[in-house]
Amino acid sequence: MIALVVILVVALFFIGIVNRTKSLLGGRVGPGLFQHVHDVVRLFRKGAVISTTSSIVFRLAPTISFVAILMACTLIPFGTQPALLPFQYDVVAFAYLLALSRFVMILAALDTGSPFEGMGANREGIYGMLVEPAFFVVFGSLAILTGHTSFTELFSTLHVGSGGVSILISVLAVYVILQIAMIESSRLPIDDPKTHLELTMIHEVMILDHSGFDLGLIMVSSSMKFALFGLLLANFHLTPSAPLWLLLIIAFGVNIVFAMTVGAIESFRARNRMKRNPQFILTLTSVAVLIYFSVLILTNKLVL
Amino acid sequence: MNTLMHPYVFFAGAAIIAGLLIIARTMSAQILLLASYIVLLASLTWHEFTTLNVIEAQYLKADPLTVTLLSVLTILGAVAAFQGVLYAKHRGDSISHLALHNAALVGFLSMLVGVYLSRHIGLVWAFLEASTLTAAVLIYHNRNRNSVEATWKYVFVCSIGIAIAFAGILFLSIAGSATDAHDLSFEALRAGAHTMDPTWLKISFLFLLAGFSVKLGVVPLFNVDIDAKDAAPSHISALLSSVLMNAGFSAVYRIYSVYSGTSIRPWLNSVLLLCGTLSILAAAVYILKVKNLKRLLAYSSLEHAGIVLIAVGSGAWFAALLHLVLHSFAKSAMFLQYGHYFRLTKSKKINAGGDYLSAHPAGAGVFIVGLLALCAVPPMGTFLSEMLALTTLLGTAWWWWALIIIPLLAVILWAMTKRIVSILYRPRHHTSVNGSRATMSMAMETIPQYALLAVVIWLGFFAPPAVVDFLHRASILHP
Amino acid sequence: MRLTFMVACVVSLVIAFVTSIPAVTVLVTGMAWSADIGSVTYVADSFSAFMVLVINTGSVLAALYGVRYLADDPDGRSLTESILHGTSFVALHAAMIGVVISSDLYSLFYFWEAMSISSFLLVLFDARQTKARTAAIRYILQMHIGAVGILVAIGFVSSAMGGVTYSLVHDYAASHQTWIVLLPLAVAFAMKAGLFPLHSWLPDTHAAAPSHVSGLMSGVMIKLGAYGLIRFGLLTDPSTELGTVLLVIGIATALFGIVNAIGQRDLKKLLAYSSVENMGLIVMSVGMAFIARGIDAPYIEIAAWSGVVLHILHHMLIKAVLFQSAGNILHGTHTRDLNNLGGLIHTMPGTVNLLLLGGLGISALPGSSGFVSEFPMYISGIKTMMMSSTSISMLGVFSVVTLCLAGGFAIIAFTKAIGIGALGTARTKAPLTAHDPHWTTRFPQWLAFGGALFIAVAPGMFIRALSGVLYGLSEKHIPHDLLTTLDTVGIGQAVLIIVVGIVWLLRMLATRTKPVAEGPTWGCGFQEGDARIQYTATTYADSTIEIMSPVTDVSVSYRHIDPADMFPRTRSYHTEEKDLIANKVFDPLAIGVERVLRALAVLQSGNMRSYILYAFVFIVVVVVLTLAEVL
Repeated sequence: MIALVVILVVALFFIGIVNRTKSLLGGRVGPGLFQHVHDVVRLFRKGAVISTTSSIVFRLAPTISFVAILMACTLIPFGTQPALLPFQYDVVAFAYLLALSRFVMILAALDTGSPFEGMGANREGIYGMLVEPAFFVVFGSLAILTGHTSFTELFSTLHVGSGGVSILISVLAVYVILQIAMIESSRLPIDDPKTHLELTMIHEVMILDHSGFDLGLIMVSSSMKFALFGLLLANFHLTPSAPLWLLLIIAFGVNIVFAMTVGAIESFRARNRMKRNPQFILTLTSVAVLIYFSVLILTNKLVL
Repeated sequence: MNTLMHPYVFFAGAAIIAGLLIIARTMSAQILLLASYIVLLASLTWHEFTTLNVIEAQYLKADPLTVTLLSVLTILGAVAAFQGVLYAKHRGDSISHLALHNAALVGFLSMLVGVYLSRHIGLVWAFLEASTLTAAVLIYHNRNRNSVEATWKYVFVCSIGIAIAFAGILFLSIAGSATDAHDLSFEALRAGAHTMDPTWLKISFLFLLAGFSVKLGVVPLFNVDIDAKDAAPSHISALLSSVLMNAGFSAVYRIYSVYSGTSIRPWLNSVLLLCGTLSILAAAVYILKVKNLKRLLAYSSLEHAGIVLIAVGSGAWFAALLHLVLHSFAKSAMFLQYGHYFRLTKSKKINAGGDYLSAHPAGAGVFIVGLLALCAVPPMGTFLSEMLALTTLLGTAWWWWALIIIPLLAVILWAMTKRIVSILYRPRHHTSVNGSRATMSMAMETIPQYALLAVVIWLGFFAPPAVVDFLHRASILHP
Repeated sequence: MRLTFMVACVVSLVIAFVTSIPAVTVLVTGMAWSADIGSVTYVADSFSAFMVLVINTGSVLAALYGVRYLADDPDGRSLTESILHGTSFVALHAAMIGVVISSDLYSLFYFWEAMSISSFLLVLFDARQTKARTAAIRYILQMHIGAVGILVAIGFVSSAMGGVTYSLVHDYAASHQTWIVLLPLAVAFAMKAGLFPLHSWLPDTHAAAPSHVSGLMSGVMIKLGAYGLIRFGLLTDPSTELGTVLLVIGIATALFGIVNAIGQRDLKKLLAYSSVENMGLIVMSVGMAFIARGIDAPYIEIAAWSGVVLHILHHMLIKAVLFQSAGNILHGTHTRDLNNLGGLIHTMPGTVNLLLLGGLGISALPGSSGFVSEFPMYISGIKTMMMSSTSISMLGVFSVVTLCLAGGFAIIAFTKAIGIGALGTARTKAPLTAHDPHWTTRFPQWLAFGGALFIAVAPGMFIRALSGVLYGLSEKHIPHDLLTTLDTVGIGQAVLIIVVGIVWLLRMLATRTKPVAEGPTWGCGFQEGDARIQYTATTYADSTIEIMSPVTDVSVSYRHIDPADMFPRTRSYHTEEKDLIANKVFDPLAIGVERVLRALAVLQSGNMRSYILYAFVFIVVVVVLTLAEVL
């Protein structure tokens, strides 16, 4: 339950911090920390313009996408505090819920009959597909390491510095998850949300036609997705012995650092060429495989 | 009846009927005479069934194989005679033309009866030669350029074949002369075969096989058979593919079983396998480029004769006989239906045909079921016989032959299916063939074909044990 | 036509009813059923009984749909054709049941061939079109070649053991090299199951067949290939090696199938390739189960079998929904080419709704039966990763990666099928004039979808009901926590569906008073957008095909514009999706064989002298061979 609250709170300011970091690094003042929230509230109150081409799929998609992310949030624990709906192998459900969100958003994009949205949808589908092996290999490796297969059990025993977990593995795992989060949230280096050319967008171009309440839902979903991964990262640092207040501080701290990292990356890095993206994502998989073998060596399953 | 229906009576009766057929000048008389001949055939079959393994007229003897083949002959003879009359009626042939045809038919069938019944290798040879002459009349029936060419080729090559076979008999008598075999009857030969010189036996078998291959319709002398089946009227092709092939089989198989009592049996088997495989290869090769539906059916006969030889060679004798019998029915049905097809489309060319399914639904049904039978798939009985043949082969030391045969069979299946399906389904171009459609009476005329195909299913899977048992006995000539 | 098929439908229903009763009895009591018919013994253990139920469900769904589908059939067909179609349908249904209750290779071979031939006759339905005719003939050829495997097994077993009952096959495998009997059988089954690289018949045939038949073939018939692999795998005491082989083949099949599904423009071919993928997943899971049995890991084994069983059920139902939707679209628009479709959701909402739901299910997304059927596969995969042996653990990695890649590709494939085919604007006139068929056409689809939904929310219940099947397969009881996990997943799925409903209601409430304006799709300021500016099926697949180019075969015919081309003439861009294996392996092979055989045909010269010569050549050849002691 705490996890859900943390995610919702983080979601409130995450995008704000990212944008603030970027503007500061860019030498601007930038919008307020909660500008994002204001935007969403404004959108929720607005009417909508919908395309004559679109159908019920277009209108239903943001809702399903939002619910899928929400359900994914219920799978994440907070340190030793179990998740809302923990079960064995919920890792799978987590990945598939994100996939469900992607699926409906792609359909909504195709429903508009727009060339740009078709392009974005296509890219979203490919990158989302390519990133999944890395996710599963990382969590499979962590499962080997801890012997547990649900997030709740996994993170109740696993954190940086816990017995047997080398720093190397943690760093690699954090790196991979960070990159997955970037890809899933359509951020650099795969996608640049602030680009102003439709041809180079992925996620933003898919939602060109959404407006009003639905656009608000989509923005909430993407913030929550960030927070979701933020908490996932934070969980690596939540030592079971620490008191709750300290844990909360750690969690928020990790998320703030995460957001600032995202902002920093987006300030200093250029977006990849589209053609390079698949390679980039597959590199991630190879890092994941590296983690897998390290784990095998650590657990004495692979003797060199 | 038993005492009455001595083979002499049969042959005398057949001769009288043939004579009367030539002079009879009304349609009803022709039909009546044909019917009486069929009755005569049926009673002979019954007679031989009741007097199995009794030597009659010194050189004739009926064993279960004879009776089996006689039954097939009776049924197919009746159907072919019926179709022959229809054929003449639709073509508007003169009554004298029909009369000659019918007389020749009676003669042809009677000669085959002789082949089935003979217990003497010389007599088998003589009857087969005689069947060539009568068959020539039947092949020539259409009296056009194509049929005259096929006829003379047929007669010529058959004579060569017969000559080769005669050489085989001579070699056999050389082999036999050194021993105590009194004559060339199968019983005497069998009794003396193991004392004969294997080399002479081998040579004689080789010549006999090559000589009779023209009747059985297998490699090496199959070519004229194909031409003959192509040129003859379709009901005659049906007979050539069934009862004549059976006669060839009867001859070869009897010789085989005589020799198989000796040390050369493995050699015999491998020669038969080689012959069968080459036949299937030839069928596969030619069927790929065949453009004529009737030749397609003829090549399929070549394939099935090959399968029969392979079954014999691998020791699946029951499967061989079953396959032979089932093939006779299935192929006859196909050839007969082909006659109806030709009447409607006026073309043998596969490319000219098409959309038969709409033009003649009932006939198309015969083609489909017949195709299943020729491809040896369920629920047709040929599936059982072919499966038994191939699995037996796989169990022998020669199992790797199957690796050659099976792909060839697949090629044949593909080619046949492709062509027949194209005839059934492909939309026709308006210019090529007139869009004539079958009438109700044409639909009714398919009933015999369906009946024959029903036999193929029944005999394969629903035959009563007594029949199966009889076939078993028929397939084992010398226990 | 309609009347004849109604009779077939009734007969099929009767068969289903008569055979389902003993099947259910077997499942409930756990006692195997057996009967002697003629001299042949038929046996149905719990797995057979399960397959009988799958077959019956699939056949009845197809029959019900077929009645309506054929009622709208525009072609005037003769009685023979109708009877042929109806008879073949019933024969296929009966033959499939025969396959799973056979207890010796003879009857297996009989029913196997009967199954092939009856499905061939069903595919011939549209054989007036050249493509369908070619596909049907290729189909029967490949099935025939495949079936030879069973024939070979019969030959070997019967000559060595004097019989071909399954127990003798077991004895034979135990006393000889197992692969001698298993390999030919596996080829036969793999051919039917459409496993890589023997899958090439599947897409063409499914596209050519009338839709109720495609659904039946894809949903049920190809599963019998998996049935055979499982049955004979278990019979020959499966080893880890066998499991590994199946796992690898399954992985290759799954990935190849789904990548090629993305490339297709033909809706039914896309669905067919997706069937290839799903067969791959099933076989992969079977391999996993065999591996688990080999290393004695009961939990993994049970999980893998649960995946197999649930996936068979799920795929049967969902593929029926999808193929029947494709059939409705085909009837409505007379095209299967996605590039000619689009915007169907406005003209055929009833059909598209089902396509959407089916698409969600087949992509194994949460809330669908696909998710619960792949979930146990993930369990077995992750659990295998955790095994102590490195090599086994890596097999687990492979299977998990395959599952998630296949899932990701499936999303692309089915967003393509739905998004390009049914959403957006119409690319030609055809979708504009289409309309939903009579609601009864969708009745079997809703039935199937209802069943799938039931699996989605109550997988635990199904696994409990099928515990006998799983016990029969693994001889182990289901671990309790597997059941609880599946129960939780089921509940989670139900919660997901309910929450979607609630949020949707809230959204409706929130936006009830808000103004909604309609306008054209945003085109970056370009207001004259028409259907041509949309992404097409080809472009949507393009980037995936580019990444996956080693396993796809899409030929592009387009002449680039030369810089020297001062006034470029009209250009056309044409792509054609082919099957890599069919195009690069089998077709050249077939052409080669045909060429060799045709070259031999020179012997038919029509020249009499050479005819006679053959006789002497034959004699000489035999003499030479005899002297050379070859014969």
